[in-house]
Formats: sequence, structure tokens, C-alpha cells
Amino acid sequence: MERPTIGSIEIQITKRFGRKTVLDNFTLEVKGREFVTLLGPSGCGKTTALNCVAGLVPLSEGKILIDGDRLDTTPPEKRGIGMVFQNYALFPHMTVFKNISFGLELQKRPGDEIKSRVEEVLSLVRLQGFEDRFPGQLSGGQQQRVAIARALAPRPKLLLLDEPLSNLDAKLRLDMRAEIKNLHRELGLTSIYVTHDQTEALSLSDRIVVINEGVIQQVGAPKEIYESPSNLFVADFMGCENFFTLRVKAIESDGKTALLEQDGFQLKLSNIPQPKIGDDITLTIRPDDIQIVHSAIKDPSNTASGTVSVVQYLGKENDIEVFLDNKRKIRVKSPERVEREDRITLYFNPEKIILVPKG
Amino acid sequence: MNVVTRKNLWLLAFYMFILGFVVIMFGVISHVAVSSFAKSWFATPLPHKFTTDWYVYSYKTFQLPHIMYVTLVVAAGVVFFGLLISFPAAYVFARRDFPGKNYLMILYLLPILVPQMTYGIPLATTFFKYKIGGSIISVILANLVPMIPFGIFILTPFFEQIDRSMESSARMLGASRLKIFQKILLPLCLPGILVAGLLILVETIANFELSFLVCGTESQTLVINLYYAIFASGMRPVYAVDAMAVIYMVLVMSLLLIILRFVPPTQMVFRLDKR
Amino acid sequence: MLRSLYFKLNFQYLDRTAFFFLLPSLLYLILFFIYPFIYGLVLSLTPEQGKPIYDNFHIFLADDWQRSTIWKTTRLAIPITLLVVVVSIPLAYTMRRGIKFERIVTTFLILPISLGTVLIAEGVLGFLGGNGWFNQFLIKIGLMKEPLRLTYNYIGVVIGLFMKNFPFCFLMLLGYVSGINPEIENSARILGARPMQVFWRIMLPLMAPGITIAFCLVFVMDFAVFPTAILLGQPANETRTIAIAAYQMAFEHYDMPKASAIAIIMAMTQMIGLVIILALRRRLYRGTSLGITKG
Repeated sequence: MERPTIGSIEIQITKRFGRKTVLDNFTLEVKGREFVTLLGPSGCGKTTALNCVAGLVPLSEGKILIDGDRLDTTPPEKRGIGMVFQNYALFPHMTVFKNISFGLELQKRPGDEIKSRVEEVLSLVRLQGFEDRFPGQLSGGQQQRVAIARALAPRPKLLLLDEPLSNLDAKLRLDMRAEIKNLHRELGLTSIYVTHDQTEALSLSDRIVVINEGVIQQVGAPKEIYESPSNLFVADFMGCENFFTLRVKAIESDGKTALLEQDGFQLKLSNIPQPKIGDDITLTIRPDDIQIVHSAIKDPSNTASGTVSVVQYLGKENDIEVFLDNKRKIRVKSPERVEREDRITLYFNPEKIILVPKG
Repeated sequence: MNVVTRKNLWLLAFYMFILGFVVIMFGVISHVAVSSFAKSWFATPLPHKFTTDWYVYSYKTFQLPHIMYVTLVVAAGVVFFGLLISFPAAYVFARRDFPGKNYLMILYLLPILVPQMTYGIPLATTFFKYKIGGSIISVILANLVPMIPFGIFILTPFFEQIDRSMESSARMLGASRLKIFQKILLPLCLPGILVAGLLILVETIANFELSFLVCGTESQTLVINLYYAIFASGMRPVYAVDAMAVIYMVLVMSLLLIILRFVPPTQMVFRLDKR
Repeated sequence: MLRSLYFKLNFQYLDRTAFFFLLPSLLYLILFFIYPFIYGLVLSLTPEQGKPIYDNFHIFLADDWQRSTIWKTTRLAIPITLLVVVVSIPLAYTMRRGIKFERIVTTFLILPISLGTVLIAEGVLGFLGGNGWFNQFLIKIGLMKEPLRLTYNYIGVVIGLFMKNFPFCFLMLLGYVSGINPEIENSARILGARPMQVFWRIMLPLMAPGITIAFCLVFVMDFAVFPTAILLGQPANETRTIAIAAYQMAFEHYDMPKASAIAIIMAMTQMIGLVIILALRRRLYRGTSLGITKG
């Protein structure tokens, strides 16, 4: 039986709990077969948005449309959406088989169709032979796979996943991530995924929606979000550290290269759009993109010197905290060996510097 | 005296006290039992002659079959309706938060905390005014007043244990509310229903004040009859009264045996940490 | 449009399901608890022809013999409650980390609670009566020449109530004290406090809320004592509790207005008792914490 593929989902949610507005005109369009991740810190509203799409929580205002049909006026059990929960929510008093067949039985499918479908999804998640076990007898990873199988069995047109990997340990999380990615590739099922883990979002998604306090901060492909964060929050959330705000002191004759300075720290950048003297520019650079320099540099701009204050050995690299001469603290990740109290010079490659737009 | 010795002394004192209490309790209970089998007994450690006549006597004079019937009907009625009414209420308390929930909880706590004599007298007065006083129905209705909140407070934690996401996932899979109740909720809180039912049963059988105030001559439970028998013990031989007491004891203790299979003793007492 | 409204209504704070689920129990309590209470209140304020509205109360309080029931009841309730709670505290404390035979002990203690007041009364009458085993034993070993009068008096009621209240209070406190994080105690010990100090300065204050609740519950139960006072005591005089007075007025004199007034007086004196207990507790608690800072 073929599962209908949807064309697009239009989401427009305003949700209030009492006086508190958790989502304010949250607008998103999800295309068919897309894997979209809602990414943000705890309490930002991403789970609420997911629950609204599922129908477990009603909208205060707005609408949800699938291919032009209103979804938000239908009760959740009639929406044909599959959902995977953070704590799996398997029915403890039913076997794996019964758990997975639950949705199919409610669809009143004939017995042999149910049986073959259950076998089908079990092999999809690589748990053949587990039909007669009870959830209590399964490990965390196995339970998660049963939960996924259960959600997929009734052939939903949309799959929602609410932080499904948070309860797993680190190694298992990596394995399950690969499995989810694989499943999406195989089935092409439109999916909306919720997480606070940026690595998960980057690895799994076609598009990421970064949310903070109910407001969408940026929507884009993983590469875009990672390399060009549109504001301070996104940059910070995606792992950028070492934020600076510098002022444009001079512009060179080519009109593009600007000289920025603050507290004895000098940078020469060419990628600032329409630089003006006196502008304050916020920028950041990732710890791994900062280089430790040993020989003398011709151009003192884009370098800074300081003293090493903390060194943490991380295996393939060192996490180095440097106390710069201009009293700023900088975090550098480098495989180079340094010791506490060492004097070092750091080079900030202008191509690796990320501009953080205001707002 | 070092710490260990002092601790052991405390333990010793503790065990002695408990032992003393248990011994006295045994004495109290077995005295009744022995007396019920005595032909006659006066100031001797044990009666000289034993007999089972008193059981036959009390069977006839106290109309035991009828009393047992009344007790059974009342108990069954209170358990059935108590569970029926408290079950959905417990669900709401476990699952929903709403303004005024705490005040509502206090209201539900009142019939348990306020002594039965205090509200029993107005209750009985009302029943007699509306002409239902004195019937088995009135005994059932009266006992339900404290037992419904009691059932709610026992069942609520059982519901709280069932994760909400289980109901949500069932909904997403297409189950209507009724189906969720049928296939998920009911099976998962069966143990809770069992515990609540058994505890209500014991409490109802042992209930004195409420049953006493609203009953009539034909609707007296075992305890009430026992009371009247003791009260009028001048007119009835104490051995016969004790025989009835033994029957009551056997009933309660067999129920306890069943209950203790499923419920730890500490859970039978009103839990402080629930408040 | 209508469906969306229906769906929205379904989710307001107290949605339809919740409302219907609560309704039966709520209605039941209103009908069979609140209404009789109000009815009783109205009755109590219904005097005989031409008398003032508070007459029923006045009659009770003006009659020495009736009014004395308040004192007699208090005289029973307070000492028993004190005794039960004071004995339960060290016992529950000792057992806080679990002891051997815990299951057996708690099972035995459940017995008097489940058997109920009436059966305990009958048993006590026999066992502690003039010819019962207890007195026989005392006389046999030469401790007494004549049997102790332990029944049909004040002592009898105390013993009868103790048998039921002690296990109840003990199990309640045990549950409460077991819930106190054992690490608090451990950290106090490591900081150098001796066991006695840990008890008085740390654990007892932590147990205070539980003790207060237990005290209030036992007090309220004892204040309303009825069958025990009749069967084991001297209901005509020495142990004529206010519950007895109310009952007699209702079912021997069939004077419902006066009986309701007595029931209300009983409820109010209980309430006053509770308020005093809670006020005392506040004073006591402050005293304890003062002790901590001084030391």
C-alpha cells in the first residue's frame, strides 16, 4: 500500500498559556520529504510547537495546513501523524508486537496484513525476532527503535520526533542518529525533529529552525546556520565562543577593507558590507579556527599575544584558555603542546572570522 | 558508654516496648477467643471446660446469617460505588492542574479528617428526615462519604505513575479517548483498583460511628451488633458475645491476609507525605 | 467552524472530560456532606418557640452537667494524644532506617487499627478486667493483692484508645521520618554531632511538621471518642464525652436541634484545640531553632 506523500505543510502557531505567550506567530513551511529540525534551548517553545502540530495541545491562534487542508481542527487521533516521544512511551503491558500493531488494529486492518506490516517495520529498525518481548526486557536503544517502528507502522504522512535521543548514552546516541538518518533516506517521510543538541540538528536535517523564547531566530540549511549565523544567539548556540565587539577606525583605499580596533586589539577585515568609520561590529571566531603562531608576522593586525592560563588535554587536541595582554580571555583549540604560563601569539585568519549581524 | 552500646540499648528498649505491646495485643485478642470456647470461666488462667455451644447460641440469638448478609451487602455496595465514583475523580486529580485544585483537595480531605461523629449526626438527621434513615441504603450512602475521598487519595498516585506520554502516544496512533481508557489506562491501574477496593472493604467492615448513627434494626452490620451485644452484656452471656467477636475477628483477619499480599502495611495508614 | 470551537472548548483549563469525571464525587460530597452540615447548622439555630436564636447552644453551655462534657473530653484527648505521640517519636526514629523483622512488626501493628474500636474494647474488657489474665498474672506473682481497676473508668478508655492510636501514629511517623533524606543525618554526624545532638538539633525539627500533623489527627480522633468511652469507661459520669452527649440528645431525646448544636460545639472546640496546638507548635519551633543558634 502506498503512503501518500504530502506536498507541503504550512504552520502558523500562536500559543498562550494563561498570560504567557510561548509562541508568537510562529510561521514555518515544511516541504514534502523534508527533514526539518526545531533547535533551541529548553523552554524555547520547540516542543510546544511540535505538540501543536500533533494536536496534543490546541492553538490559541493560527492554523496548520497540509496541502491546503486544515489540520488543526481535527483531533490528534485522526490526523494520521506518527510521533516518537522522548521517553519512548511504550505500553508496558503489551508485547513489542502488540505495541507496534496497536495503530494498525485501530485502523481495523486484517490480521495477516498487520502481521506482515509489523514484520516489515521490525526489519526496518533491525529488531526482527523481538515480537514477543516486553518493553521492560529491552535496552534503551531497543526501546527507542520499537517506538520508531510503532510510529511508522500505520504509514503516517508526517513523522514527529520529540528529542528521541536525549535519554540514550553518548555512543548509542551516535548509532541511533545514523539509523534515523538512514530511515529518512529510505522512506523519504516528511519529518519534524525537536532537539537542543546542535550536533544532532546539523547531522540530520535538511533545514534547521533555530528558536529562542518562542521566536524563530534563523531558518536555513545546516551549513548556512553553522557558517553564517544571523545573530548573536544563533552564533552562541551553535558553539561559537570568543565574541568581540570592535569599532571601525579606518577604511582603506579600496573601500572594502576596514581596520577595526578595540583595547589594543586590531583586525583587518574585507568582508564587512558597507563599512563606516565609527561602526561597532560584533564578530566571533571558533576556537578551532585560531592559529598559534611562532615566527614573526609581517602584519601585526589580526594577531594578539597573551599568556596561557588553563590547558585541558582532550585527546586529539588541547582546550587552551589564553589570557590576552588586553585583558581579554580567549579559548583556543589546537593540537599544539603548550604549558601554563607560556607566552604565545595567536593569529586570527580573517577568512574564518564570522560577522554577527545586530538583532 | 560508647556509641554502639548506646545504640544497642535504644534498640533493646525499642524491641521491648514493641514486644510488650504485641504481647498485650495478643492477650487481648486471644482472651476473646478463649472465652468464646469456654463453658464457663471465672478467675482461672483457662476455663475448665470447653464448648462450641456458644457459637450455635450466638448464631441463633444474634441472627448471624442476616447480619452477615447486611455486612456483605453494605461492604459490596460501598466498594463498588466507591470505586466507580472515585476512579474518574482520581484521574482528574492526577492529570490536570487547574485553579482552585488545592481548595478542592481540602474539601475532599474533610470527610476523612473531620471525625465521623461530628458530621455523622447531621447526616443521620438528614437521612431520617427524608425517610431513608435506618435502611441498608442509608448505611451504604453514609459510608461512601469518607470512602470516596479515601479511594481518590489511594488511586491518584497510581494514575500519576502512568506517564502522560503513554496516553499521548496512543492518541497519535489513532485511539479515541474510550479506546485509551480501555486498552491502556484500565490494565495499567488494575493494581491500584485492587488496593483501593481492598482498603475500602476493610474500612467499611470496621466502620462504627457512621454505620451506627444511620442504621436501623434491620440494617446493622457485624460491628454494630457486636457493640450492642457488649453494651447489653448483662443480658447476654459474655461467651456468646465473644463468639460473635471471634467471627468478626476471623473475617477481618482473613481480609488482612489477602490485603497484605498486595499492600505493605505502612501504605494502609493515612500517608503523611501525600499532603 | 463549529468543530474548531468544540475542539477549543475541549481544552480549557477544566475541560469537559475533567468536569464530568469530577462531577459525581463533587455532587456526592455536596449532597451528603456539605448539605447535612448546613442543615445541621440551621437546625442548631432553630430554637423552641419564642426563644432567642442561639438558645440551643445556650442550654447546653448553661447546663453544668452538659458543659462538663467538654472538660471531660479534653481531659481524655490531650493526655492520650500526648502519650501516644511522645511514645511514637523515639520508636519511629529508631526504626527510621529499617530494622529486622520490619514487615512482621508493621503487620502486627496494623492489626489493632483494622480490628477497630469495638473489638479492642471487648478484648480489653476481658483481658484487663478484674478476672482477666493480666490481673490474674499480677496477683499470681505477688505484685498485687487485689485486681487493678483498669476497666469501666478513665484508665480503661486511655488503654483502649492507646491500643488503636499508637500503631496509627507510629506508622504515620515512621513513614514520615523514613522520607527524610538520610544524607542530612550523615552530614551532621560527619561534622561532629553526637547521635543525641543529631536527634534534638537536626532530626526533630525536620520531623516537626509530621509530628504536628500526627498530633492533630490523633487529637481530633480522640476528641470525638464514642464507643470506647461507653464500653470501656464510665459513660454516665467520668468519661461522658461530648460525642455521647450529642448522641443521647439525638437518639434518646430525639431533639435534633439541640443535638446539632452539641455537634457544632464539638466541632468548634476541636477547631479551637487545633488552633492552640498549631500556635504552640510555632512557639516550640522557634524555641528549638533558637537553641540551634545559641549552641
